[in-house]
Amino acid sequence: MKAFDLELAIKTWKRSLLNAKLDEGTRQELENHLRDSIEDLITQGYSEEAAFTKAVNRLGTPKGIGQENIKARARGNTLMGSMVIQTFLIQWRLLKRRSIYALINVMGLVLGFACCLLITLFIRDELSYDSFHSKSDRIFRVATDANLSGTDRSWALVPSLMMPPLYEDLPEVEGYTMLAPANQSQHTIKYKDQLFDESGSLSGKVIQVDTSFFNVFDFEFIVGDRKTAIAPDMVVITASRAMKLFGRTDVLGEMIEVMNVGKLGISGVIKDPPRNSHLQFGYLLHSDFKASGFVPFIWVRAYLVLNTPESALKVGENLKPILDKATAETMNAVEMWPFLQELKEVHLTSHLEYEIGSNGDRKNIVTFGLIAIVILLIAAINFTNLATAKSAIRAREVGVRKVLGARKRQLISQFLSESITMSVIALVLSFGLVLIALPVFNQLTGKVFLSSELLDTSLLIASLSLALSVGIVAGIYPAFFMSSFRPIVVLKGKLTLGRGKGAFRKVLVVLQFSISVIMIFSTLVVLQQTNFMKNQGLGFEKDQIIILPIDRAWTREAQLLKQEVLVINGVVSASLSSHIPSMRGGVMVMQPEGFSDKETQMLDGIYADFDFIKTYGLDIAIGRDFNSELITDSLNFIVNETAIDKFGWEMSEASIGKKIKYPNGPVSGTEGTVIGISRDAHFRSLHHAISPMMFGISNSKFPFLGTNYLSLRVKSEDVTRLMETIEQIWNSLSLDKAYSYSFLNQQFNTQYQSEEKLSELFIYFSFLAIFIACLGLFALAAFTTEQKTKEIGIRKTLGATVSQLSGKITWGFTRWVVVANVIAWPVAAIVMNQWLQGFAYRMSIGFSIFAFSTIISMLIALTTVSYMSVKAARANPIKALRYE
Amino acid sequence: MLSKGLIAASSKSLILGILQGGRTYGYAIIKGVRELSGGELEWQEGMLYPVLHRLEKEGLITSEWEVTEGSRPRKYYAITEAGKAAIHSEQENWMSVHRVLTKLWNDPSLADI
Repeated sequence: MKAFDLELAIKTWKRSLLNAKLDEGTRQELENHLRDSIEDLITQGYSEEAAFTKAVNRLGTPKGIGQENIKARARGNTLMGSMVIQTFLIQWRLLKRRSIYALINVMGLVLGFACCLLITLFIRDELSYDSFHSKSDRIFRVATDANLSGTDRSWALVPSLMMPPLYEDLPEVEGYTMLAPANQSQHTIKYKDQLFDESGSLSGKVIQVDTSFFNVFDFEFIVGDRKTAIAPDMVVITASRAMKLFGRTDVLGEMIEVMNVGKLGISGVIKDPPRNSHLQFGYLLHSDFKASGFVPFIWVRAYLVLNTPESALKVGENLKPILDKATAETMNAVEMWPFLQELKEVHLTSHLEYEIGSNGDRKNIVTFGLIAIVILLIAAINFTNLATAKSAIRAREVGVRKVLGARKRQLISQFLSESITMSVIALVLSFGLVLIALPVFNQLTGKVFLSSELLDTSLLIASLSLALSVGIVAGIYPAFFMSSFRPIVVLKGKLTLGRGKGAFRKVLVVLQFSISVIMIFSTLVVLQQTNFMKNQGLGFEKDQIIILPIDRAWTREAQLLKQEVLVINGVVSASLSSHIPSMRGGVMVMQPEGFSDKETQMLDGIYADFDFIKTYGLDIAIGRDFNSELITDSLNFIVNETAIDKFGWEMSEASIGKKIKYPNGPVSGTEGTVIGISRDAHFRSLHHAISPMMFGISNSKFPFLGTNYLSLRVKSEDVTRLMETIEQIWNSLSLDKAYSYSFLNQQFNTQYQSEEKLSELFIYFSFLAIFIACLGLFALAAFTTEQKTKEIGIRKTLGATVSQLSGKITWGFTRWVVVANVIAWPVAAIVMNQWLQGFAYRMSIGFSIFAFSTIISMLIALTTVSYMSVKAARANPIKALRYE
Repeated sequence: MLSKGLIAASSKSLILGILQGGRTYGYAIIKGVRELSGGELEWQEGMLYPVLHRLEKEGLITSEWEVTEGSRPRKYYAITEAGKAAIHSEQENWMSVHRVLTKLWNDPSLADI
């Protein structure tokens, strides 16, 4: 046998201390103690080995010391640490024991938090628009209110004439820039025989800008000099366009051709505009916005840089005099009031005519913010409800703890920290859920959120404090409620829960379901309104119509194309026109018969060939359609009913033959005769009231509005083949434009995109809200039936049938859903009526919506509860009674 | 042998009492208690240190490491003014327990309660 080595033994013992939670100092202290003890024992006559064994025994096991140490520390300042561990352990045990409730609790919260996070991402993005420019708080857009023959209009446009004097006269204006989107026919790009159609894509938009564009805006250059990049015969393109055309970005000096503009050299490649820029484009061309030919001035979007944000007020006051002076010679008939808009506010608050892109809406932000709060509220209610319901089970725990000396304050903080822990766990899980849901959400919102955006510090801090406050708010009532149990009562098992205190839970359930009903109701209204708008008779034929965008410059080729296409079997009718339904016509300022010299009327004008009315199936109420055999018709007009009304004319034969005069412009003084009155038709979406319209014949004498579209009315089983045939014809004519076409009904329906997006989001979120509410209801039902096992058992032995019993239990819950419906109706009706005010043509909220939302909510509630109640009612009564 | 609970309950008074007699280190405290009690009070010796640390946190005692040549470094504990004050209240507590128990055991008429 080996001799006993004291040092080795002590070393081994020391190592075992490492497992115990001891700090270095304490370990040293304990070792000293052991050595002292051993030395003493040896002097008393013990052998080294015996002394060691005895000393170690006296000292106690390392693990024991470690635990004792934790307890001692827990009594001191580090109370929090051990509390968290303890709470977590309790939570974990409870989770295992009553896993279904815990699961439902956490799941509801996870969903709630996930919704909140997503909505927060959305709102943050919407609020961040255009703030990336270093001068963003000093940049203002100039827009105008105008009163045109009695109609108030607001435009995102100003006459280019007023900008130079604005800069020269006002010292507060440090700089300005003007821009205007190129027209449809300038959206085909040619590079080495290859044509790229950029019409209709936001990131391929062609915009004309002046040389100071990059002095005002901070778009980032990849190659090129920002000071000189904008110049005649030059073009600046974005990185994504460079990749599309060349497959690389170092393309300085390469030549591309922008159709109907000319060959241009690339003077710069910039990064694509950030997603949160209201200006989106792919190509920047130079323009000096000088008036020429027909037009006395050009309407532009104009942006000012002021010396300080505060000087906006002063500059704003000076806009009108400067505009009036600048346009005194050219625009006598129109009164205009220019005003300033903060750049950062443009995206959310500006909904003027001629916005450069489609803007967001502050209303949506408020709506989604509310939805986030509501969903969180429902989840928090679940939490509170289940916690108070569970209290019966935990009553004994509370009793025991109280007997052992726990004070009320300690219990409250225990329960509170439990609910906070739950809430924080739910938050962590919700981040995972958001990661999973992000692609779908991106698709729904049309935005591109990256998962890395979730790790933003401010977002993390905000969500953590949200989780903490939800934990506190949801936990505070149960905490006070449970901690007030009297130990003697609960320990004797006399506490009757679910009776008196149940009232609070019922109020919460009713609240949850009222919210759910409002969500269902709103969803139905949004859906129905969207449908209403899509299916409303428009007053013209929108199905079976195919639109080919053509080039305003090739009138002769356009005629040729039309003739050749008309020969194809399946093409019923074709028309060349300046505009098509789904867009505004050109703005025409006219002087109808009976108006004084100064008076004019604004109309939306469409100039087309003789077949337009026929192709679109517009209804002529009085008078006749254009006739190509009557030469004089090329000067004549057809107007709609609204126009007649605005003119103050009679809706009768008496108005046929009256004259309308062009009061200014190159054909000033020329008159045309009204030959027909068309029935009002919805040329634009039903958001808008019908505007006064005039149709004229496009010819070389009146090329104002150009010829931009060829509309085909088709009647064919095989549209794809038809379109292929047309493509062949298109190619055989070797036109300088890529072949593309669209269906009018699709194009028309894009006007309802925002409603569709809204209703889709609404459906998702209300589904979630209802789902979370149902989770709560389910758990509550499960719990209540469990509580009533005995009652059900007795009733059953006394002869109650399964259906009677389950009916009774189910009714116990569903009647609260009925109450919820009654509460929700007026609220929902008021809110949704408000929303409908935003539409010029709207459905009325009928009985069916009330009925449907009630039925849906009842069905959902019934399904949720009936499973538990049937299960309880079917259970064997002997089991139930023996169990007690 | 005393029960664990009683030892734990009395440890504060004992430690403070011994430290009132002068600063000393852990092993010496154990030894002191053993000698004073004639071996009746046997602590699980390791448990002393957590108690010492707790008392230090409560501000009743202070500690410092002392290194003297040729000997192990030792952590010496000393009582603070607050500790001295605490001894008084500890004394009163124990005395009142003592009085009640004495009464109880010496007066047969009270024993039936």
